[in-house]
Amino acid sequence: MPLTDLGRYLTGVVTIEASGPTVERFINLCMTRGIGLWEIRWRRGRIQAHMAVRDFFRLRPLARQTRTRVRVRRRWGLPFLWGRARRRKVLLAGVLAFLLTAYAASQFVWFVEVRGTKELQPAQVREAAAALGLRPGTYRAGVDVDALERSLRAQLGETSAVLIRFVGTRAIIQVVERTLPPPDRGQHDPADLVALRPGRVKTLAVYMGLPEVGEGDLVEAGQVLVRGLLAPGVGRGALELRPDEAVPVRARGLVKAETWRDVYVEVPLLQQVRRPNGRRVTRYELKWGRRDIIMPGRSVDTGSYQVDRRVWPLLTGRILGGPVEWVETTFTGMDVEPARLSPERATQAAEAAVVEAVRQGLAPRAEIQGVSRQVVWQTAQGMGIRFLVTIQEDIAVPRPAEARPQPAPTATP
Amino acid sequence: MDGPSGKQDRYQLKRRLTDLFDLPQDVTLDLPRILLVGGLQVIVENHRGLIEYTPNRVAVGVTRGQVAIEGEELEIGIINVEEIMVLGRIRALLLEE
Repeated sequence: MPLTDLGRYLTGVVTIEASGPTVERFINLCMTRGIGLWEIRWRRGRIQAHMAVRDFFRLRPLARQTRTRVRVRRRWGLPFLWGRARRRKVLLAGVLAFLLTAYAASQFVWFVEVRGTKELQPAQVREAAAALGLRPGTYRAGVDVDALERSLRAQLGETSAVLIRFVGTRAIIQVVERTLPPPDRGQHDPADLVALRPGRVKTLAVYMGLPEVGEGDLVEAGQVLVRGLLAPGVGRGALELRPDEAVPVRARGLVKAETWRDVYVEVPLLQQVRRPNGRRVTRYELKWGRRDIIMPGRSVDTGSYQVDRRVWPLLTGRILGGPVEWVETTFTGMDVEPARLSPERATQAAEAAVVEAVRQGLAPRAEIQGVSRQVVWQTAQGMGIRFLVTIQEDIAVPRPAEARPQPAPTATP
Repeated sequence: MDGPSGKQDRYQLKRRLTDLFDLPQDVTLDLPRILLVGGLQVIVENHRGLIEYTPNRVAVGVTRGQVAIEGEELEIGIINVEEIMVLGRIRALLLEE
């Protein structure tokens, strides 16, 4: 609604109909007396125009002077709406109550949303928040966000940051989980951290030991990533060592690296596809204990069918000698037809299967970064595709110090 | 009292002075300014009032004559002492003395 129209709506507008021998003169008189008319048009042999309601009572002398008959066709705007509303007090009260209820309801939290969890379960965060006073139904202004964030962080333990914000009636809890080195099952024997598989080091966080590689380095499987030694000036300085002494320790750290899985897949392009052929038979049975009463109906011919079974328990327990169930079995006839897959579709299906298979074998914190593919061979019958799946994962695994290859003795002068 | 020839003389004198001093003619000679927006809208400024209004013709009084707007489904969008805005399917604009 334009601003002018809004102003007119607020002050009230009437639509008048004018007829007479000198309507033009009537319009001119209105104009010279400062009575604003707009959207003047012919309707059913009369002139129709809009005007401000406050000017309407100034029309009478002008209409008399020009022998023009003026009738009100329509009234609209806030003053008229208010007038109507005042006569309908219950409606007015209802609208007012609705607005107040809506406003009051908007002051409470209706949904608690948890974002950013990896190891933690959202339900666990919600429960902790509820225990601290943030749950659906909580008065928003009564929540001390800073204190709640602190308490929640302390209660969850495994988080490095908790941020709470309100969006409308939603409370959004953003959780950033702490990245911890993998559990080492309480072992304390000296050990190095070595690479589980080849990769390119992306991030390196050493908690104990001497880093042997840096970010961006390519590492081989079995290569030492963090040496299980504590030397002066390394670590947290808890030990004071002589410069020539290094203490064997159990290396601890997190080495995230980009790794790759090379998967080769052969996909047939001619496949057998099952399609419904329109035959459909539904059979009803009443199961009573070991007895099975089949209701009369169409018999099922031989052929290939997809069978869907739905069971409604009628009576449980052994009141009548066993549970009573009503069973509906639907047989949908299927035809097996040869179908040719397009190479694109076959590749997409194979890629989805490869990604899923790789994902199954990954640690919880590992993430698939991307997939590249290369068609090795392709004929009318099938194709061979090589997929290279790029993953970001922790590749550091402990290797006992005994297994460490001993350095060759150096000749002393 | 000025007769028609006296008014004519005065008008001619005004025109000469306007040309001589290069003054805006619509101001000095009290002439209408007419703005035609495609075939949809006509705005007449400095008018002398509405003379005729039918759905097919709107005649607006101006100094030394009238401006007639012919077309279909004509309506007057705004009318005040400064301007008249005529809307509709405008076919012709005539300056009549």
